[in-house]
Amino acid sequence: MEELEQIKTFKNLEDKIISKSLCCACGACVAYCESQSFDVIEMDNYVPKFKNNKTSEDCRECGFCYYICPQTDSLIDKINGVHLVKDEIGNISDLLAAKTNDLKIKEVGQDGGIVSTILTYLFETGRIEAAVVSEFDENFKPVPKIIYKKEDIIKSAGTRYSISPNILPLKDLYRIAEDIIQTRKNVYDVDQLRVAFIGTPCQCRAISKMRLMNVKPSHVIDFVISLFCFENFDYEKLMNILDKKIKIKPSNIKKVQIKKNMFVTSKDSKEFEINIKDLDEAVRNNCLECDEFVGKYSDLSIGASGAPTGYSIIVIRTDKGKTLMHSLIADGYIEKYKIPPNLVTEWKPKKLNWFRKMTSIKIKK
Amino acid sequence: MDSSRNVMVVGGGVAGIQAALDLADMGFHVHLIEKKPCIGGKMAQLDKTFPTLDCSICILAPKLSECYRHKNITIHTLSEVKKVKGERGNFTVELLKQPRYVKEDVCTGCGDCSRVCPVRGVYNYFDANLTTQAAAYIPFPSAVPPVYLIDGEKCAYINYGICELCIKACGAEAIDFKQKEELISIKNINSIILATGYDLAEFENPLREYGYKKYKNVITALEFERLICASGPLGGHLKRLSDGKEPKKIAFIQCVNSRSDKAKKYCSSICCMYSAKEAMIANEHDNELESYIFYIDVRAGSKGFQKFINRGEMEYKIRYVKSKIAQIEIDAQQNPIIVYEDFESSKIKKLKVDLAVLATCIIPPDGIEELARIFKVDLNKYNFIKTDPFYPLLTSREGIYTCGCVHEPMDIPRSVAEASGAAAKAAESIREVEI
Repeated sequence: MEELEQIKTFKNLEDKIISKSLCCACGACVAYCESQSFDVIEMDNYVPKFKNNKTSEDCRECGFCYYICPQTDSLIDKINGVHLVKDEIGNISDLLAAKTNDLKIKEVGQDGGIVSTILTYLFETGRIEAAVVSEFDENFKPVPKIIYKKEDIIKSAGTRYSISPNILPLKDLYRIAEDIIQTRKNVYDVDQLRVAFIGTPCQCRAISKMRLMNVKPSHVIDFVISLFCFENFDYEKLMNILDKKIKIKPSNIKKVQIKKNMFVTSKDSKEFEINIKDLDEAVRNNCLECDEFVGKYSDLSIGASGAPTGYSIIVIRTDKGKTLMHSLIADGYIEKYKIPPNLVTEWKPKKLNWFRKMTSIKIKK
Repeated sequence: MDSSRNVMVVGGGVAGIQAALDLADMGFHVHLIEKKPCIGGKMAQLDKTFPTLDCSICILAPKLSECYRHKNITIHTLSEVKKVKGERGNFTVELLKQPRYVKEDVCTGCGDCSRVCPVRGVYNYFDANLTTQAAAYIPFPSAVPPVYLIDGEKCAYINYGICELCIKACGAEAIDFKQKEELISIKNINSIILATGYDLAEFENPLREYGYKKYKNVITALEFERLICASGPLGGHLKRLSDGKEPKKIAFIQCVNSRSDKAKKYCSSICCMYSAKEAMIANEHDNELESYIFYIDVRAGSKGFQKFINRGEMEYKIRYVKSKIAQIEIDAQQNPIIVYEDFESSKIKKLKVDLAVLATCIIPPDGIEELARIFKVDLNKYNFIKTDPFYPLLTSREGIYTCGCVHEPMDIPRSVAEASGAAAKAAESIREVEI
C-alpha cells in the first residue's frame, strides 16, 4: 500500500469548513460520531462543535466526519460515478409532473404534495419502517425527526425555508430502533431497518458519501428523496426580517411559500408578500457557495420549479425511483400531468441555464 | 518429522474434520484446507440433526475445537488449492491464502474491532445472508479458528484510507492491513482427501416459479434452519419475514430442482428426512403448528428413518401430500398459496399456508470443474467427483480419496462414516509407501 496522507479529523473540519461558515448544518458529522457513542461533538444552534468538556484530544481521529461532510471535496468523484453525474442537474432517467390524490395531503402539502404521498405509499406497502423528515415546532422552527408511523407524515408536509439538520436525528437511530422494531414486527435487528431520507441537496450529498462507505447510521437508508433547493435561510435572521417587514411573530405563521417573492400566510389566514431581495441578508453563507439545486445524489428529486400550478416536478434518477413512481401512478396515489415530450427534453437545458445565471448572481453577492 | 507422513484434507466441513481428526489421532500430520474464514461447513449452520433431533452445533463444536487444538493438524482458512504437482507419496500443493487482515496467532477473539467498526452491510453467509454485520466480524460466536477477520471489500481503511478505529481498539495489536494474498507451497504430501461438500441450487428456474426471493414467505430449507435456530437471527422464535407473524401452517416442498427432467435428474437424498425434522422442530416450538409435506415419494432408507417419518405423522401434525407442485401464488396478506396436482385424486388443488419451505437440490460445489482440473480427478455426469460403487472412497487418481457430498449427496452420519473410511484409506496408502 502506498504511503497514505494524514487522516483528516474534526479539527480539520472546523478549520476548513465550520470556521469559514461553509457548514450546511446537515448534522452528518454529529450523527456519525454519536452513533459510534464517541461522545465528542454535538450540534449547537446549527453549528457542530466539540462538547463542553471535550477537545481534539478526545477525538478518535477516524476521519469519517471530514470525509462524509458534504462541503468537503473528498469522495465527490466517487459519488459522481455512482450517480452518473456529469453536470449541475445530474442524471435524469425520466421527468414527470404530478399531484397527489390524497385529500388530506392536498390541504396541507406544498405544490403537488408528492413527497408526503410517496411516504404514505412506502409505509402502506411495507417498503420502509421509518423516514427522516422535518416538522415545525410552535414557533415555525423546523425540527428534524425520525417518524415510524404513517399518521405522523402529515405533520411534515409543506416546505421549510430555514435550515433543518435532517441527518442529525439519525444519531438516535440505535436508541429508537427498539420502538420501531416493536411496531414493525417483520424487522429483527437495527441493521435490517429500511429508512427513507428526505432532505436538501447538500444533505443528500452527505448521505450519498455515507452510503458509499456504508458507514452507520446511513446503512439503514434505503430511499433518498432530494428536495429542490436554491438557497436556505438562517432561522433567526429570517424571523427578524419577517417581524420587521410584515410584523408577524413566528408563532403566528401558518405557511410560507416562495414564488418569485416570498408569501407568508398567518394563522388567521392573512396573506403577506415580501420582496425576495429583502431576504438576502438571511441567506446562509454556505448556500452562496453551493453548486447544487435539484439534488443530484438521490433516487428522486422533487420540487415545483418548472411545474404547472398545483403540481410538482419529479426528476427520476434511479431504477428504484422509476419503479416506485410507476407503482404510485398505477395504484392511483398520484395523478400524472401530461407534459408534452418537448418540455421534458427542454426542462434540463432550461434549468441548467437558469441555474448558471442565478449562480453567477450569487457569486457577485 | 517424517515428511512423508503428511496428508492434506481439502474442505473443512464435518467430513473433512472427521477425516482430519482420525488421521491426526493415528499420528499423521494433517493440513486441513478451508475456503471460508472458519471450519464447520454446512453442519454448523443447522439447528438440529436427524433422526435423533440432537443440537447440531453441540455435536460439532467439540470436534471443531479438537481440530484447532490437535498438535497434528494445521488449519489453513481462507485458502484454496491452486496447483498440485507430483504423485501419490509425494505431492506438492500450492495454496492461495486470502488476507484476513487479522493476525491469526495474535487475535484473542474479544470482538473490540467489530464493536468499534462503523461500516455495516456485510452479509453474513453463516446466517444464510439473512443478517448483515460490521466489516470486522466473526461468522459465528463459536467459530474455529476463534479469530476475527476484516472484509476487504467494505473496509473503509482498505478502500478509502481512513478510519483505523480497529487498529486503535485492538489491545492485542492483531490488526494487520499489510497482509496480502499469499501463495503457500506445501511439500511432501503423501495423500489427499477431497471433502469440499456441496452447494444448494438457489438460483435456478423452478425456484423462480415458486417465487423464491420475490415472496418473503417462500424460503429455502437452509434459511429455515437459521430462522428456527436459537443462535439465528430470530433467536429461535420462528416468525414470518414479511410481517413478523408466527406461522401456524407450513408447506414443505420436496424435490425442488431435483428428480426432474427440467433440472437435476438425481435425488438430493437428504430432503425427505430434514423436511420431516424441520416440521417436527417447528411443531415443538408451537404445538398448534401444522405442516404439509408435498412429496413425490418418501425416501427414508437408513436405520430408524421410516420410524422417524411415522413419528412425525403421528405426533407432530405432519401431513404428507403426494403431489407435484405447479407454482406458488401469493395473496394480499403475503400468504403463499401452493398450486399442486394431487396424485391421489388427480385434481389440481390449492392450499393456503403461512410459510413455504423449499427443499433445494444439492449440487456439486462451486468451482468443482476447476478442482477436478487441479487435482486431475474425473467427474461423473452430474459433475460430482467420480467414484466406483464398490470403491466409493477412491477417485480416478491414485493417492487421492474422497468422502462426503462432493461425490454424491448424503446425510451427516454417512459423511462421517465415509470420512473415517477415507482416513483409513489414506493411512493405508502411507503404510504401503513406507513399506
